[in-house]
Amino acid sequence: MLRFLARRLAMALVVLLIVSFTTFVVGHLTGDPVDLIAPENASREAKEDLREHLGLNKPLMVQYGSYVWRALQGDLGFSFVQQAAVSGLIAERLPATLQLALTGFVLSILIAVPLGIFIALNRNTLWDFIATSLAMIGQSAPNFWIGLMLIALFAVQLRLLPVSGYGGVSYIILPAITIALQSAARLTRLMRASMLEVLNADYVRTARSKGLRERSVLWVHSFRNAMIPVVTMAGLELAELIGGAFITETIFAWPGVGRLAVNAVYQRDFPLVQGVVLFAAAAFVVINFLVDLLYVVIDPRVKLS
Amino acid sequence: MSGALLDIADLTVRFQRRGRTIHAVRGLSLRIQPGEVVGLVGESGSGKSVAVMAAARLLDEKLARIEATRLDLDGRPVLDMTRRQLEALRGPVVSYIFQDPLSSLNPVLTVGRQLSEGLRRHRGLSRADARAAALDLLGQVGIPAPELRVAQYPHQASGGMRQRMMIAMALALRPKLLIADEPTTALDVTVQADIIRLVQRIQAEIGMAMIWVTHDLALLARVAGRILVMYGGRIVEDAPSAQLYAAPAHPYTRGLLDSTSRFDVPFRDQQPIPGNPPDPSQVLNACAFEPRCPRATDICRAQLPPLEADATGRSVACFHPLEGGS
Amino acid sequence: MRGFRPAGRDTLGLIGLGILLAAVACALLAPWIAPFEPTAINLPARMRPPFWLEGGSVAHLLGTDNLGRDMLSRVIFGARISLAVGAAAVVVGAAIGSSIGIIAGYFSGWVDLILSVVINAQLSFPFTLLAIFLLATLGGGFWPVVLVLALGTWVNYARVVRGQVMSVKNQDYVHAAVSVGVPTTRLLRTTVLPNTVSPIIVVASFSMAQAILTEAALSFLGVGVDGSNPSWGTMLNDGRAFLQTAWWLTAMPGIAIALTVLGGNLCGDWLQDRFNPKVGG
Repeated sequence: MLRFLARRLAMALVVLLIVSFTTFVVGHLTGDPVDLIAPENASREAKEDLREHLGLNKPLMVQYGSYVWRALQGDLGFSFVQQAAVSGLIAERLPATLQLALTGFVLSILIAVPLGIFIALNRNTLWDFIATSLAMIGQSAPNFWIGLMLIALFAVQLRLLPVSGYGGVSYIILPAITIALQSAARLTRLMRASMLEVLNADYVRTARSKGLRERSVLWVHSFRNAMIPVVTMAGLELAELIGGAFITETIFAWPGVGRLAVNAVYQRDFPLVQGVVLFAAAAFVVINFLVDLLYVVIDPRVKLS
Repeated sequence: MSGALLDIADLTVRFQRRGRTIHAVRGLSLRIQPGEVVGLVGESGSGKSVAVMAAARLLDEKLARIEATRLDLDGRPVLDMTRRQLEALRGPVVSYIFQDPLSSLNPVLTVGRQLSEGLRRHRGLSRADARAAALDLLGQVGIPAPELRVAQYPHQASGGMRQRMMIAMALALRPKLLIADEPTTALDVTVQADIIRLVQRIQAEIGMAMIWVTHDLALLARVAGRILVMYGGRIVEDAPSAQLYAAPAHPYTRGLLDSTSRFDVPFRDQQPIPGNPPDPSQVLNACAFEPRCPRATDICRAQLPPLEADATGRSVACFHPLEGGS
Repeated sequence: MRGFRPAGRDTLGLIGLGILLAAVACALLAPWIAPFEPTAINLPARMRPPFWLEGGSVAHLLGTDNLGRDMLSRVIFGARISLAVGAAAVVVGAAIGSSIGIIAGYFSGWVDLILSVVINAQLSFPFTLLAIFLLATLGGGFWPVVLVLALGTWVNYARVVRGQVMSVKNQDYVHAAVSVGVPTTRLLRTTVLPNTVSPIIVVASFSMAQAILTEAALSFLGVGVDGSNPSWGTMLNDGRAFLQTAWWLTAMPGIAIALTVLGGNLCGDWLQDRFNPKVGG
């Protein structure tokens, strides 16, 4: 188990190194930060002083090293556009993002797991056909477009819910459904496939041959086994929702990290974009690692190998 | 009426697969008396596993269609049973040992859990009593340190140990009929003999009836009192072991004996029966073995040979049986 | 309800192929099948709804936009950009990914280790944000978008090709060929390449769908392909401002995207099923 977790941890660090290096290099391609910060009429000497003050005259790798060192301490840089620390800006927006991501995630699990099991048990029925077709279509339509159509229908035509913004419960319904539908489409298909595979497994036949009640066969001998791949995928989904619901946040004017990033792109606020990318990668890596830990709990084969 | 423990008449099992019908069992009849040990032998694809699975309706009935004029277990018609009745039947009346103990044991449940759940379900034992019974069972099948094993998972044990666990599980409720479907095929040769001896010993202790399903005639010589030979989804010969070995009546049995039981010939020199088994998607109106049979005549191509008993207690489904050990 | 038999795999796959071919036909034949010039402005006829709604007309089947341009024509012409981007991304991604996959699989050792770390790293990272960042900093346009999309999909090819190469490499005839001195490049061409064609086609089918979706998202955020001919994603971005008054400006390009992507996904499922048959429910 320790070996498994150590390998995963090493992988996580490698991912963060690759991502941080990419964002660092791309950040440097965007131009001389000194030009952005210094007043336009600043003298050459003043600029050089500033450069030295910021450590920008040092070799690239040294700069990268201090960038990583500062990031490890929670300093993701300074947004010159917003005149604020990047980590502070992200921390400020994080609660809204978590609120939306977790709501959408719970909603998608509540749809996908029961529905996937139901259609696996009733495979090749009309229900199965309808649900798998809808899931297939849900996976194919652009998610933000589904969000826009939900706005057009429920907010504009029926006037049931607000178009966008942040406030009471009514504001979170449409964006949460939007992100839940996409993730539920994927998870439902996986849950169905996984359940079907388990129901065909030899050990389920053994459970039946012992005369166990069908209820035990399903919940004790099939459900947990079928959840193993679903848990992995659900972890990826959650990570993606936390680090990547930026288009949904944008169209619903949801004041989260994703919208922060999109606005930063528009304002060419590169330190901020860089910081959010790194944050998203970190969220991804951390959640994946938590999923790995969860794996150890639900699959005893991992614990002992 | 017959007093038989398992009484099957004219069993057919068909599967629908990708728009085609697979005829896995095509009119099989057999009777097993209480306490009797029978071998069911045939090539892979002969329908032997499907037939014994159908006996307790373990097949997925969304895919499989089971029909029979009679399918009685312990005097009760299995095909008329509700799901509840079937659940009550499996375990105390009939239980199974499957071929691959690794895939047949649940990887995420402990051995103790899998051993005790049948006892708790059918005998209503408490958690503690079921655990004690599980320990006892592990000891009976020769597993050392049962106290350690109950808390472990199947993948922590060796192949032979796993099959012992499977056997302990199948015997937990002292069933009247034990069906062992190729129980040693997935195991190391060195372990096979141990497992066979173990099952034999426990069968003798409990006095239960047993069906050994295998493709290995040589194995059955040591364990079964009577042997049923299956080909193309039907029984083609049914005879006491000694008689069958000494003088097979069906040409297919002869072929099987020639190809598998010659200890004096190296394995690579043994001759399999030329030709291929019948296509299971075809409907058969003639002898299934006819295309591979050296004795085939016109009548074999025109009619299905019935399984008929002779005076010596042997039944054979052949128009031209081999006479008197020729 | 019991005994209902849904359409078979083949039927669904052929439907998917049909959708893709229809989209390709739209793209190739756009000037001949579109009823109007996609850029022809007709202010008196602006904001017309689709024909089945009150105020709609058969002249503009899918309605018109805020400048009176015909939506049907714009959607048909939009196929050109969206499919061109998707196809180019598939070709570039497949070329990069397959080459790297072959190298990783064939030479094993350190090269393979580094590449599989990179492959795993990329598979566990949300790609779209990085894509936006790259395009916003380095500038958009057709080829930058294609390159970024290829960068997002090459790992899929690399992974399957690497797996195929590893399994082919250990087969006897390859060992035999090596021992008699057949050059490596020729070996790769004659033994490895034929075995990797079918998994590459499967991945390409899914990647095409993925590329069209990502392109739509990028264009929607304004960092996609720019030009006089808008892609479906750009049209979504344009239509969004009129969501309250003219929903069809957003609905129509979205449906076009969803259908095309569905076609790609159905095709991918079908091909995967054909090349790698597995008994399923």
